[in-house]
Order: sequence, then structure tokens, then C-alpha cells
Amino acid sequence: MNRNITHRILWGLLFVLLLIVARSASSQTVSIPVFVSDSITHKKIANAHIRIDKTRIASISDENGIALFNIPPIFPLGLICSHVGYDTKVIRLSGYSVDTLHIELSPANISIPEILVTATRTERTNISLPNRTEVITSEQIESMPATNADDLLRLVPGIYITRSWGIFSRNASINMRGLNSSADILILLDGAPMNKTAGGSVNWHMINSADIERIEVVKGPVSALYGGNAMAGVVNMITKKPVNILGGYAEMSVGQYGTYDAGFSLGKSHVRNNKGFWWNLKGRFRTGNGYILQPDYLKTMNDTTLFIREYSGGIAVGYQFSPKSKISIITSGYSDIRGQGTKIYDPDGNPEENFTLHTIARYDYSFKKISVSANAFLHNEKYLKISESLNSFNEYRLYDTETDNGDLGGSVIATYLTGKTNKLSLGAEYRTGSEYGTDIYFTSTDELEYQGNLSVISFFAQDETALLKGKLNLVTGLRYDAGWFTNGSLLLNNPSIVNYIDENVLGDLPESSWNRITPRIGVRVPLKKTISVYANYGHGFMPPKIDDMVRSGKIRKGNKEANPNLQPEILEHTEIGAEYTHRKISISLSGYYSTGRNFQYLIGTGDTILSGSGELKEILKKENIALLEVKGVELGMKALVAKPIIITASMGLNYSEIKEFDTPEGYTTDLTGKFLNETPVIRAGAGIQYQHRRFSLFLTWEYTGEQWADEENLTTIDPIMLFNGKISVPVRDRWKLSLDINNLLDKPFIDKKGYLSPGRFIYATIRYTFPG
Amino acid sequence: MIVLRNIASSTDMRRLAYPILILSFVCFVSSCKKTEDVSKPEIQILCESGYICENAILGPGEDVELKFSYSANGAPVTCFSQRLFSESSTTVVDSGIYAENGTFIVRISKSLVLLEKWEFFVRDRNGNNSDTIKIELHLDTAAQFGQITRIGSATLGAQTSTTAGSFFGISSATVYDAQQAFQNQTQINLVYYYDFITSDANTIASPGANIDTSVFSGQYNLPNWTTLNTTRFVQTSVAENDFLSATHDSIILANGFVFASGKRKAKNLTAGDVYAFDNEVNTGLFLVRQVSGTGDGSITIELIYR
Repeated sequence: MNRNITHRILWGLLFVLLLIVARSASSQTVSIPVFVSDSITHKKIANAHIRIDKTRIASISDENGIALFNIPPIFPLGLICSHVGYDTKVIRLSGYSVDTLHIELSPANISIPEILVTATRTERTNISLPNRTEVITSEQIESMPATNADDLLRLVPGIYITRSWGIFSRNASINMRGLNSSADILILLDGAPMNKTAGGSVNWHMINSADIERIEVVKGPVSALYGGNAMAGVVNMITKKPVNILGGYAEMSVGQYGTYDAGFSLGKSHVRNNKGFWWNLKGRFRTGNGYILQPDYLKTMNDTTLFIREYSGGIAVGYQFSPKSKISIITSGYSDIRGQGTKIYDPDGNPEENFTLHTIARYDYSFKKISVSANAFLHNEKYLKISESLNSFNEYRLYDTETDNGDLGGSVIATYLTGKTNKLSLGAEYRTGSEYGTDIYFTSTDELEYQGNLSVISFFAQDETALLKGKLNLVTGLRYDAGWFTNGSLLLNNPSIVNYIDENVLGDLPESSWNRITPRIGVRVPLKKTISVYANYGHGFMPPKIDDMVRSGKIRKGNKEANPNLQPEILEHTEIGAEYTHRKISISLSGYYSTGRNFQYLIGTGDTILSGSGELKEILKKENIALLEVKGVELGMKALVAKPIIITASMGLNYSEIKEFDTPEGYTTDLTGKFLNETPVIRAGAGIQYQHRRFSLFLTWEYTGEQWADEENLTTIDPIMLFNGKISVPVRDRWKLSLDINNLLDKPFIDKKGYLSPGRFIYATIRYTFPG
Repeated sequence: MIVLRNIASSTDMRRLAYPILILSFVCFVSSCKKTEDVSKPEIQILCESGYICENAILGPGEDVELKFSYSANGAPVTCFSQRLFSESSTTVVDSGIYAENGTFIVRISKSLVLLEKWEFFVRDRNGNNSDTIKIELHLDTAAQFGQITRIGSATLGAQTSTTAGSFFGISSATVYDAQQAFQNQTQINLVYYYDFITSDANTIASPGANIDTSVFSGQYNLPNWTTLNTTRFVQTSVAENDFLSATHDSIILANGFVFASGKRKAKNLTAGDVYAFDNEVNTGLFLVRQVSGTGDGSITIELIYR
């Protein structure tokens, strides 16, 4: 407890120090009135947003259309004026040469083409891509209710997020388009993968939404470009980069359940005339006492509140050698300890601890018609979990799990402009992942030790062409991946009746390999100025996880046995879609059909073992045995209802059925005809965004339909409906107060494991943003 | 006055200095013992009245108890481990605990194996094991086998049977219905029921076996009991004829087991099955003579015990 208070004091002092730095940085400015009006009606425009390009200096026009703007002497500068329903306008200023600045805005379409980099690893507008893509802009990130980075994806059609315990959840599970594994979606941070080769999952806690500039979501398999994990799609989070004056933010938050949070970011770009370096520092601390997971009627004396203590930080540096050449290195560190809600004897109960280091290096070079991008990344995670339990006979069990996972990789991609409308990209990638882990028992003498390596080498090519004078945009791609599993071993020292592992999977594990060729073809055709259609066909795959290949041991269902011979899951996907955009409304509709082969399932082998408590437990093993069929439809809409109000809506329908279940001889499970568990048929969401002169309000509604809780389709999880909201109030120039409320109506629900969600969760933040 | 320096003495000192330094260095290094960098818990066997604390020669089936004390050394003790090494098998029984110190009593019934090698140690929260205490138990081959008690026939009814009770007391050789069993909890060693939930079918367990609360019902249901005796079972390969013709306890001793390693339930019972049982008071065997029905079915067993 004393450590907690000390941390809070230290962070508070840091916050004050940053405020002092910020104030001194913003001292030399000149105030100029800016008048904003409609170019057609000439009427004044209230609540127009005016910002200096490459800085965070901003202001909003009042009811008279006037904003008093503080402009620092950093000429020449760009003044960006925007308002919902109008084209954004940029004014270039070369000095303090005007008494009043008059900006006229022209009415515009609600949907402005965005430049995306994720769908093709080159810059393209979203309206030319033969994929369903979504962009979450910095404005939306700023205004959406979100206490975790993954919350920003909640209104994206086709995405389903499970985070039942809010910020106290161990992690978030993100599913897309009818598939039920987080490992089926490739998560990128500044273009580098976050998915661990060991288990396929992503640590969402180490990503801070305040540091994200934008999020690009590409739906449908993109394995032809990204390889493994990009089976359902890709989510690329692009972080903010510093601008040419010292700037950043400092914020503090308080929330329910004794939650405190403080963070900062500070950076500056020294790039002048396309040469120079830039840097950025960031840090964050969050602590919370949590709540009790068990519903009242199930509480026991061993139930205790969840708790969290998180620390994160990062440093980013970059150097621009010339307009055509630049390098950057970004390093992030994250450490946490999280309680799991039970405590029997161990002082901290059953905590999980995590320490993660993630480093990305990137070099970009362009020369005439060729651009080359080289990436390297290193991701290392150390994990410790203490597991205590009392079985129904009050027999005490205690063991520690420690794992050390590492991922190292790099890629080179060269893009050549072969013509005015044609780009050819060639690339190569290498990635190696490793896992070393132990389960050490303290209430018996069992010591389990496991390890393995999975490496993948890949080559890919992509061609982007605009045919028929831009009336047909064609993207084709082909990728080859070869993976091999080595150094696998599983040892059980001093075994007792607590652990049983078939001796056939003990010792050195057999090596295995696989290879995949993944094609992709897509076309988008603009039928009219407001309507375009697209179609695509492609493959995706998810490589086997090291954890499934090397680790045997206890799980909830029974005893899991390692399978070093696992092969990748494969998805074959066809999709068509259409998009309609008009001034005040945009609507997108997609339909898709996928067949999955070699899907992995945990099935009973037919053998059982006697647990220490005398209960028979099934021995389970993951095998590639299922043929899956996924059918789905997605609808997205964005409408400008009135000038300060935007409504967004999304809906996804999908049916994911196991068509064939190729049960190996001797095994007992057959899931033919069953539906995928934890995959709701219906998922819908809506958001209302209201921008007032004095505040902004964002309300969201989410509906998750009924879903199967188990693979055998015996138990269901009831539908869940949630309302969330965020209100932000700018105070003076750079201060902002905001209030996030999750689950506005305070409707706690029971998740698939029988645990309680936290109900209404209120989070208040005060933030100071200073120039830059 | 001229003072002559004792040059010879100072030179001697210099000459001696280096050997002294080297010798000192050697002494210093050799005196540095590699200190134990592991703090391990401690275990002791107690020589108290009623307990054995050294190797012993025992007759077949002879019961003895051993008493241990343990204490932590830097981290709580989390496991008491007992291991039995005999000619053909190794049995490991680990008991989870979390304490700074305590005592542990082990009850052993001498088997027919000529030599039993027992090992005992504790393990702490840091994964350090204490020293191991070893005890050897030799079989007194001259000792006589003991007498057995035979219960020729006991018929129990399943949970909804209206013709026979589901509860049995070995010492009293009496079948009890739910109310009678509730009133005589200390007597009850066996419970018969048909398990619909986990497909274990005809099952004999005991009050302490954590039988699902939905099997029985009413005010005399097991969750309302205050005394829950536990009996453990191991299925044997004893032939029916050998069971029926047994006249002393050699057949029981030959099929004995370490109590904690036995199962809490004897499941999927069919006629002809022979199970060894141990309730920490009596050890014996039972033979299933007949079994039929489900929730209202019945089972007839014959028991021998020592």
C-alpha cells in the first residue's frame, strides 16, 4: 500500500514538472482573431476546429464564428480549419501580416477518401481497395469512450471483442468475421507484428490509446501480403510522431474500484528541410484495487478483489537523412502484476506478472520510381503465474508457471512504379519465435519443462493496377511461406500422481515443417461517383502455436497433451461488397463466404487419467481435423444528421458451422454440425457523436447476440447489450476534462466462465496538451 | 654517533613478506567454504510413545504410525511427501500444505513385501526440499497371518430404492436408510448409488467422497452431515473363488495400498468385481455378487476385512 502512495506522489510531481515545462514552451505567441464562415451561404460557422499543422495548438470558433487564436512564431505554417459537413481547408501563413483571418469553408461529402497503408503495404485511398477497410481517425480516438486500446474497435462491423472484466481483464480477445480466435487476426503496431508465435495472442495492455494516431482495419484474409495470423484480417495501429516544436501531454485519471492512472508523452522533431532527427518519450502508470469476480451467491472466503499495477514506457527516435531516406527505432516496455480474484495462502493470491519489451526498427528509402522499406522487430515477454487451488476435498495445490517467449524478425519490401497506375511490390520476410517454460509444483515434486522454436521464411509479390482509365482497380498477390519447428522438448522431472504425461511425448519432440502458397486477387469498380463495388478472393492461414506443440499439462477441461505435428489452419475466402457515399451519408455492405480446413480442435483422445483428487480427467490433444464453413454479411453506415451530429451504425451477421470433423481413430469427439463457440450470430453497434462549442459527447450502443459457450453446443451465453459514453470538456486553451462511462445502465453480466463483469465503470481524466 | 641499519633484518623481512602474503592468501581462499546458498526446510522424525522412528521388523498387516515435525526456513512449507519403494513398484503421495511448521502422522500397514523402503521429506515455497528421512520396514516371515471377518451378504439399494437402504457400516455390518444413517454417521463407511451425472453407473463410495448433492435429497442428505468418514478403493484382479475361499488376511495384505493413493469411488460395478478398501480403521476386500437397476436398483456384496 505504501508503495502505491509513493508511486502516486511521484507521478503527481512529474505531472506538475511537465506542466511547468509546457507553460514555458508556450510563452511566445501572438493572438489573432480567426473568423469562419460558409462559402456558399456566408453564414458564420460555430464550433469550427482550427489547428496549426504539425502542432497541437488548436481552438474552436464561438457562436459568432470567431476563434481567438494563439499563433507562435514558427513561420511558415499551415492553419487547418475543419468542421463536420465541410471540406477541410488549409491556409498557409508566412507571418503576422493580418489583423483578422477569414476562412471560408465549402460543404463537403461526409466520407472523405482516406490514405491507407495496411491493405497493400503501399499508399492507397480506401475507395480504390478491393477490401472492406475501416479507419479510426485521431478525432474518433480522442472522442470515443475507451479505457483500453481494443475498445476503439468496438464499432467496427464484423469485430467482436471480449473483455468481460474491463481494465481488470487479463487481456482482450478480438474475433473477426465468424472466427473465434485472437490468433486469426494480425495485430500490427507501426507495421510490426504483436502476435506472439508462442500462443498467437497480443498484449493489448501495452498499447495506450492516447499514443495512437490512427487505426487501419483490413478485413478478410491478407496472408498473401502478411503471412500467418492474417487469416481473418489485419489491424494496424499507427502511433503519433512528434512535430517540430516541443510538445506532448500529461494526464491523470481516477476511476472506480480505486483506479488511478497517470501518463505523459513528450517529443520534438528537429527535422528541417527534410533532414534531422526526432524523438519521443512516453510513460504510464495505472493501478486499481478491482472488484470480486464471483456473484454474491457463489462467493467463498477465498475470493478477493482483482487488482492491477501496470507500468509502461517507451522511447522513439528517428532520423531523416534526406527527403527520400529515413530511419526510426521505437522501443516500448510494459510490466504488470494482476490479481486473479482468489487468494488461499500465497500473499498476493494468484497473480500474473508480465514483462514485455517490444522494439521496431524501420528504414525507408526511395529513389526515382522505387521505394524500399526494411523492418526489423524484437518482441520478448516474460510471464509468471502463481496458481493456487483447493479442490472439492480441500486438497491444496500450488504451482508456478514461468515462460519466456521471444519473437525476432524482419522484412524487406520494394515497390516499383511500373507505370502511372501500376505498382509492383516484391518482398521477403523472416521470423523466428521461441518459447521456454516451466511449471514448478510446490505441493508435489513435479517439475515440467518445455521449449520449442518456430521459424518462418517468406517471399511475396503483389501487383496493383488501374485498368480502363481507372475504372477498374485490380490487386493481385502471391506469397510463399515455409515454416519449421525445431528444438522441441518436454520433460517431466520427479512426477507424482498430480501430472500424467504419456511417455511418448516426453523428451525431444520430433521436428516438423510445413509450407503454404497463398494467393489473392481483388477488384474494385467505381460504377458512379457515389457507388463502387468490389470483389476479392484469397487465402489465409494461421500457423500452429508453439504452446500447443510443446506444452502438456492441466487445463480446465482435463489434461492437455502436446502435439508437435500440428499444421497451419487454412481459410479460403470469397467476398463481394458495395459502397455508397453521398454528401451526408455513406453506406457499406459486404457479403462473404469462407471455408476453413485443418482447423485445430482440442479433442478427447479416449484416454483418461485419475487426478490427485480421485476424479477421472479426460486427456485432450489439439488436432487439425475440422472443415469449417463461414457465411456472413456486414453493414456499416455513417450519417451527418445535423451539422454537429454524426451517427455511425454497424451490424454483422455470421454463421460458422463445422461441416466435417475428421475424428482420428481412437478419439472420442465428433463436432460435425456444431457451431463455433464464442462467436455470436448477431453483433450490432451504433454511435452518436455530438460536437458542441463547450463540450463533445459520444454515446455508443453495442449488442452481442446469443452465442455458444462450449464446443459441444450444450450451453449458451445470453445476449449482452451495453451503453457507453464519453463527455469531454475543453477548459481554456489546452486543458481538457473528460468522463468515460462504461456500461452506463450498470447492467453486470455473467461471462462464459461464470464470472461477473464490473457493471458501470466511471473514469475521469484531466489532460494538459502543450504545443507540438 | 652512526647508527647502522640492520640491513640483513630488513632484507629478511622482505623475503619473508611475500611468502607470508602468499600463505595468507592461500589460507584465506581455503577458508572460504562455499556457503549453502539454499535455505531448505527441515524435517524430523519424532520418537514418541506409540510411534516408530527407526527401521523395524513387522508382521504382515501390522499397523504402525510415524510422526514427523517440519519447519520452514525462509519460505513456508508447501508439501509433505511420502514415497514407498518396494520390489516391484513405487508409490508417491504428496500432501499440499502451507505452514511455517507442523506435524504429520503417517499410518502404515505392513504389506507382504519383504522389504519396504519409505522416504519422507518436505518441500517449501521456493522449491527447496528438506533432507530425506528413510525408514525400512522388514517383513517378519515367521509371523502368522491374521484373522478376517466375513460379511456374507449385504444388499444395498440405490438412491431411490424403497426396498433397501443405501448406507452401510462395516463394523456394525448393518445397512442403513437415509434417516438411520444420519443418526449413526460415525458408523457409515460405504454409500451405494447409481450415478447418472458422470456415467459412473453403479457406484460404491463413502460419505466423504464428495458425492454430488443431487444424488440424494431431503433433510438427511450428506451436505447436512457433520461426520463424513472416507473409504478409499482400488480395483483388484482377485478371482472370485480366491475371495470366497480366503481364511486369513494374506489376500487382503497382498492387495493393500497406501491409503492416500486409493480412489474415492468404486465405479461401474458389475458382478464379479473385487475391490480392496481401506477406511483407516479396517482394510479389506469386497466382492460384487449381484447388481441391477439404476436409481432404484440394488447391489449385493460380500466383504472380508481385518
